[in-house]
Amino acid sequence: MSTTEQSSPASHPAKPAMNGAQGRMLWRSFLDLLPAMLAPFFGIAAALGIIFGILAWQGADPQIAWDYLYQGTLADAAKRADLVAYWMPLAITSFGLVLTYTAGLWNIGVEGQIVMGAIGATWGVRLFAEGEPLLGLNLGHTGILFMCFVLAAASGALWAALVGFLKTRGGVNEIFGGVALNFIAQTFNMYLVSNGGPWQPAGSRATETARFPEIARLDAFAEYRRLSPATIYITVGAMVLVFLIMYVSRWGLQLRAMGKNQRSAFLLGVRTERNIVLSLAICGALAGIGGAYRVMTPDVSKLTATPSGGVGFLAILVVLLASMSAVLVPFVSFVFAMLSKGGQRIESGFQWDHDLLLDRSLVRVLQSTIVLMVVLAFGVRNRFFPPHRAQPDTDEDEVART
Amino acid sequence: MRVELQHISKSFGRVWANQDLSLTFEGGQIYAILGENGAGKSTLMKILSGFQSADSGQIVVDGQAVSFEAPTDAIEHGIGMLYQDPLDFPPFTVLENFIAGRPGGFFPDRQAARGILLDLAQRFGFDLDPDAYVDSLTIGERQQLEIMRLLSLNVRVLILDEPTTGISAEQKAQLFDVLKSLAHDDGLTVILVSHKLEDVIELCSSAFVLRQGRLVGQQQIPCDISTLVAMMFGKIVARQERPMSDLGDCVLHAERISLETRRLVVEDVSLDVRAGEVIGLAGLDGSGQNELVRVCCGLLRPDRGAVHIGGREMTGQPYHRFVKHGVAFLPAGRLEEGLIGGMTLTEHFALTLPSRAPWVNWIRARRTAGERIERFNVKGRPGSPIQTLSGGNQQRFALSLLPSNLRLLLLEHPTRGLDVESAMYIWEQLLRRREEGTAIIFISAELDEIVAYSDRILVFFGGRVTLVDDRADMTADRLGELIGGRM
Ligand SMILES: Nc1ncnc2c1ncn2[C@@H]1O[C@H](COP(=O)(O)OP(=O)(O)OP(=O)(O)O)[C@@H](O)[C@H]1O
Ligand SMILES: [Mg+2]
Repeated sequence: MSTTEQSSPASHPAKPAMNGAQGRMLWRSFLDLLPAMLAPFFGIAAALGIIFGILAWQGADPQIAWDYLYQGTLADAAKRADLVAYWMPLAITSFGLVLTYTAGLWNIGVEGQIVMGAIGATWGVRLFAEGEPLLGLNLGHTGILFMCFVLAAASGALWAALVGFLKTRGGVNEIFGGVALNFIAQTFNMYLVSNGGPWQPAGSRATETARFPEIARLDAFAEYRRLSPATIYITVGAMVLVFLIMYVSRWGLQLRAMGKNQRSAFLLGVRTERNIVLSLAICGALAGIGGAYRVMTPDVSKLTATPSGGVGFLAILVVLLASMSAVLVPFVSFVFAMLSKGGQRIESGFQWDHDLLLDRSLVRVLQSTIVLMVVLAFGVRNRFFPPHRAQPDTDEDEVART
Repeated sequence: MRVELQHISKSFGRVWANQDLSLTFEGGQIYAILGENGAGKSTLMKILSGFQSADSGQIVVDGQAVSFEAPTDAIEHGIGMLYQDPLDFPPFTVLENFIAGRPGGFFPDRQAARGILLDLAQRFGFDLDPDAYVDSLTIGERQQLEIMRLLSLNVRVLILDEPTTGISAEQKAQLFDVLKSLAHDDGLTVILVSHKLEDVIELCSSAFVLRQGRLVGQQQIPCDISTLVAMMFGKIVARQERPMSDLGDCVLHAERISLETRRLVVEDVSLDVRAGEVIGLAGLDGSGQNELVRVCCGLLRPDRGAVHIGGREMTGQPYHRFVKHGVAFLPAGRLEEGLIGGMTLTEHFALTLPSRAPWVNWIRARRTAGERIERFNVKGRPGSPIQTLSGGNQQRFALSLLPSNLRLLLLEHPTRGLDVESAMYIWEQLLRRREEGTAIIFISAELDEIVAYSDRILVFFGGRVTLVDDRADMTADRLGELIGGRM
């Protein structure tokens, strides 16, 4: 068998020097990434345009609305710190979801995993910081907080792994399993804190626990009482973990393969069932920590009736809009945090200062319009700037990965 | 109808898939498009059927230049193509698929459509139930459905891209009768892309040969197979004698296994395979061969019976345990099961190369991809996404992914879609594995291939399995009789 015929026309043009080629490759992959990075922002701009149109139609001055949005989020250092505090749970949950969505798993159950994390953290407080500590252990401030985070992560992971087992063992689609477990988690949380539930302080009629004792509260920055440095450290740690998994590890590659074709991945030797449960569990652990942030932020420090506040669903949107790219998640989640927080300020601002009662669902409308617009922007991008990726002559496989 | 392709060129990045091709097709003739894997056959046919657009050149139908934006435009001009993977909607019925794509708005006339479908089926002798669901059909039956759908849309040029892969011998004979009748009685133009030169000689009146995107020439048929081979490869290719090899210990011991297929139950299959042995599985589609292979690698749990690999009982163990014990399986569907669309060649190696490290060794994956591309003569680059490879090159790549030092290698249609030269080369590579003590079990629809490479043959027919180990019985004719149930 001779290979004289083998040289295809492809190999005829002399190969450019490696250096120039690599530069061009980097440049090309950057160009590929550019529309993907810009699309969410075009979408957001378009959505804001529409929203301000609606506001004007409702009799609210869009200029004032813009001012409220700005005041509510970025106007001064304290506001920015608040925004960051609000952003943390959203970001860490989104990082977790990057794993499951990459593996092709619609982890709708993330909302329930956040709730279970919140419950787990509160449980830690009750075990180690209230009354007689468990086994007489006096863990001290750091130890108690550590245990709270561990319990939160474990509860979230367990709740998520349950979705995984239902899928791999019971054949229950993760969406249905997730919805059911969301419902159970929320009901369980409600049972704990309402109507004489076991965690509602005696004599109280508020649907929440008592404030956590001093020793079990997260330390805040001196100037910003809502923002705790611990949450930032943990979130950055989670980010590094997800980056390593997605861009360095074999396991991340396995997840990507599963997301593209689970059957083939299995036949190529990927342990798909194990990976389904594991990726869900890690996502659940991160979501659980997100839930812990929500109850342990210095100005909350209690388990409320709705500890998640929809952060889980928001995180799903974030990950879809970031097209599952761990690099884009911080930016997209930040914009979402801004709009969520700014939206609340717009609503309350008009209500108090202008006696104009805007519909409560306006914030929701804002978010869904953004999603719609961003999806549209992606569609436009694909139509007019098709990605160069699907061509065989790019040597970019190593270079373009990161 | 006369269709001319004039100066068609198409490139993908630096690869010229088609380069200044000019071909003319007359009505009432059956043409073959030949060429080695990656020569540009599918690309040209996709251009002619409006699935892709050419970079330059034009299509002239009956003297008029036309341009196609989409396959529906081509169909309007009377050009229809049968894709290798049928493009039907499995959750629907035969009739619904037949109606799909027909003019008639939201409320098509089902009764009329049923009438047309039954008439066509009767003319061609197809046995299709209009109310059956498409996912219960074999590939051959889906193909019949698609042909009838195209004909009902008044197609005058029918393009078939490797239509005989994956269909049974009976269906193939039936298909050829239909094609002949369409060309000779109805005056249709039929264009056939195929690697089976025997089929081409039997069916076609003329062949166009492509090599590396260029037209090598047109050859009138009848002619010798060797003439076509010489045009395709620029040299004579001959099948080598199969070297003998010594048999080693028993690697697979299957005992009284019962298999359940969609149509029938096969009872009491027993088989012992020794290291270095090659076993061919013959039979009509769905007679239990695929199930047997899947039982031998743990993808299916047999209803009864036991499987031992290398002397160890493995019945009911999961697939990855079999893999750990040196069993590998190459399924028939490439992009559905086996390869991962959207991932590059290098990424496939990064995924499958055994490694203890938790991180990906991209340098090693890249280097291995380069080596295997060279060794298996894959037309593609380490950075090519797998779906951009031509059909035959995907198959070669799938074979190049198989690990070395295996105990047992299970193959479904290992040379499906490969050109003659590559098929021989691949078999050379596979047979060389016998020296490492690998036993091979393979399924093939090509009786020639089974006869040429097997030490022993299992014939599946109607729920029964016959072992053929007498050299005298190992001829394609005798196997054909056994497969048809004639003892
Ligand atoms: N979408 C695509 N992107 C990049 N390259 C492509 C694409 N489609 C085809 N090619 C390349 O064009 C060349 C011709 O491919 P084509 O599918 O036409 O070959 P073929 O003659 O049908 O081969 P086979 O017999 O293996 O099916 C190949 O080198 C292939 O890699
Ligand atoms: Mg092809």
